[in-house]
Amino acid sequence: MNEVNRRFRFPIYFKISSAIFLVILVVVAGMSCVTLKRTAHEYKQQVSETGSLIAGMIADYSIEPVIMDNYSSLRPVLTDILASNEDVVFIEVLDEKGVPRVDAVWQGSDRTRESPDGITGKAVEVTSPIVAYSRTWGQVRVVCSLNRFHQAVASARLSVMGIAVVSCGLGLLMASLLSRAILTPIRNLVDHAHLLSKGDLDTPINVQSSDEIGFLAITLEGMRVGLRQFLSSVARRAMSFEGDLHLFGFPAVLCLARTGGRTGGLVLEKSGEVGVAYFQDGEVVDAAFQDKSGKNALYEFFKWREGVFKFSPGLVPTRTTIDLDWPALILEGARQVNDMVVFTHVIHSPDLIPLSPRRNDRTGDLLDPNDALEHLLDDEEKKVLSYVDGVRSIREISRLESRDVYEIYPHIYRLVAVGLVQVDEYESSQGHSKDLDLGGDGPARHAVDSGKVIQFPMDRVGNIGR
Amino acid sequence: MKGCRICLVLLILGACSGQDVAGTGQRSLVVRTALMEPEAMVYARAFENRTGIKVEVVRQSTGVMLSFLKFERSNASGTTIDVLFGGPADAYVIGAREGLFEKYLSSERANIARKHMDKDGCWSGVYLGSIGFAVNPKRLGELGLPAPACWADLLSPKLRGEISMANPVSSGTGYTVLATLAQMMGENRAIEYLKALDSNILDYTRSGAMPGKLVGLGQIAVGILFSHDVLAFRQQGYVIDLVFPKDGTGFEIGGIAIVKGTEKLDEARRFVDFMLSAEGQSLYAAMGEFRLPTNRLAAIPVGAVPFSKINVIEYDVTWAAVHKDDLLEQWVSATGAAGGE
Repeated sequence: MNEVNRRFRFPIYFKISSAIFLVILVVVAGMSCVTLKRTAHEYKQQVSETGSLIAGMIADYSIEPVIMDNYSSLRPVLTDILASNEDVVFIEVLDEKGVPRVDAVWQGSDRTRESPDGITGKAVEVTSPIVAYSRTWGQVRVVCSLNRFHQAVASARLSVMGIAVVSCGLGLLMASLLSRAILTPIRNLVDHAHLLSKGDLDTPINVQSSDEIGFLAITLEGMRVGLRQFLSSVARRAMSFEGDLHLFGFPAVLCLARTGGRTGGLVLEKSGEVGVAYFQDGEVVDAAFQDKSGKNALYEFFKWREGVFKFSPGLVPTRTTIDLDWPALILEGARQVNDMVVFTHVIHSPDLIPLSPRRNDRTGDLLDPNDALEHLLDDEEKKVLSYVDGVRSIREISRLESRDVYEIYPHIYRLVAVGLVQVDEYESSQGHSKDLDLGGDGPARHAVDSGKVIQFPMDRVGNIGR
Repeated sequence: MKGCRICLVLLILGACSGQDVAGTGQRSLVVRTALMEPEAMVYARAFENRTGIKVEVVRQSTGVMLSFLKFERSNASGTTIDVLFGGPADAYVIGAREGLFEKYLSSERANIARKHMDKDGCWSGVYLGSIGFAVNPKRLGELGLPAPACWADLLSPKLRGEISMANPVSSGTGYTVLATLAQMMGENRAIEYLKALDSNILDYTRSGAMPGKLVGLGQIAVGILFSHDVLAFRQQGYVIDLVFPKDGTGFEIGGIAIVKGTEKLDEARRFVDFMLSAEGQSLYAAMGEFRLPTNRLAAIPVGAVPFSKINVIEYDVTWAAVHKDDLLEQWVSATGAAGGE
């Protein structure tokens, strides 16, 4: 019911304009009715007065014919009066005894109608005495029809009703148009506000209106532009990020620099040594470190355990020495790493359960079985990947492979670097209630920086700056 | 008694003319008459019974009839009147001069004196009637006055508001009185007389016979009208006396004429023939009217006063017609009375 009410709720402007219109209509119709009634009353009086006048004139003219019994001279006169006045339907001349002396004269040729007494209510009857020489000689009886009057009244009523109906329709139409004219820009503004609330600062608020709504739209558009500028400045600041490799790891930094299609140079420094990885629209196109350049220089950075980095948009690449696509580049870089410290920096414990973000956790099926990354993996990496099912821990995988757990670490590291596998303590503990205690032996126990969780899946970097 | 006579006449005429009625069928003829309606209707019904031609009678004063005829002529929309019947002949003389009438030399004119008709046949006289005073003896007794014997007696101050005569503008009777006095006294004296008489006049009626009825009803003491109308009222039972002025009185020749342009010319001629005939004019006597017939062969009504017994002036109908506008203008100017219609 509430849904229905919401659906059919009329706009307030429509209600207001309709109410105003209805008030005007009622007032005008009421005035028309009052005027019509007054006019009808006056018309009736007019007919009555006209009838009296005619009767009086006939009475004057009838004096001698009545006194002298010369009624024949009255008939053509009465006939002429009837012919010249449609409202007079009946004339009768009576003598002093009340005896009709001239055949009653009817309007038109139809004499089969009812008697004059029978048309009371539809007519006005007036009588005028025939007085002369201090004596009443008879009287004239005139009946004036109110048919034309009633027809005129009926016609006027119809006209008023017709005008009222048409006005009603026009009023509702105008109210609808008026409310639409007001509501349409408001709805547009509401839509734009929704877009703004969703973070869309790129759609301009283009509401053309010269009234207050237009003023509101201009204000809202100013707010959008201001927000956009503000966020742009925030984004610009975000683009010049910097940090410690010990915290992020180089693959994660690369992913971060790549995100947003940046162009610039990622400057890395370790123990006084400085190298640069150049980005063009988010792709690594060049690198330089010591006397190395290209991917050889880039692969050196993967081996760094520590150091600081800073992305500088001002370092625009001037050449292209690296043309590998991104996954291949990352995978190859990760393969260059053979440092357990680096591995444990990502894989905190052999009891962690590697997850495949590309696999449906419920069914176990690969979401994208034909992923292009598969062909980049070598046989061992593929084999390790095949054991990743969201249930087995790294240690269990190593047992299945009948290999030492530390031999599995490099493969897991590479799979994590290219995003095919995710190692997440939280996810692992939630899914299997496994104890995070590294337990047992292994380099993880003494190599892991507790509390420092390195995440560098490519789709977890965020969208800032895009 | 009068009703019985009328029925008798109609029965006789109907019996005599039954074949004509059957052979001719119903035809309508519009007759405008200055005669009183009941009387005119009798002549019309008699004519219908004789000829089978249906007659529609409309009573109007002579002046009104002539004015209406002129009005129709000026509108050039054709006439709705076929025959003019009754009323003083001076109006007919005027109508003939203005070409309003068809010329018709009826064979019945052989029995009518030449001075009582138009030599060209535009109109013919159907009856004669002299001007007289209708007197209500009871009313005069209340006023303490004797019956007026001459025109001068009507100027008595005691008769203020007690006299009525027809309006000369609308009524042929009224104009006959005016023309009679003008011919008797001369125009100026007649106008002065009528101006003096005006103070005693209660009302100028549209109908010539109306003053007689008012006298009979006791509304006034004296009326000036044609004697045959006075006698007719007395015949109807009104207590009314007829007095002829000793110093002379005028008379009317009641005319009949066919309206020019009528579509019913044959029927109109037959009606004229009938009313000029001895048979038609004998109806005056048969139905108790007191008009003097112009046809020498027609019966003179019993009780009618022949011209030989009263002082009748040589009333010149043509003079009256020629001077009508001038006389009426002077009279209106002197009395301030308006015309009838």
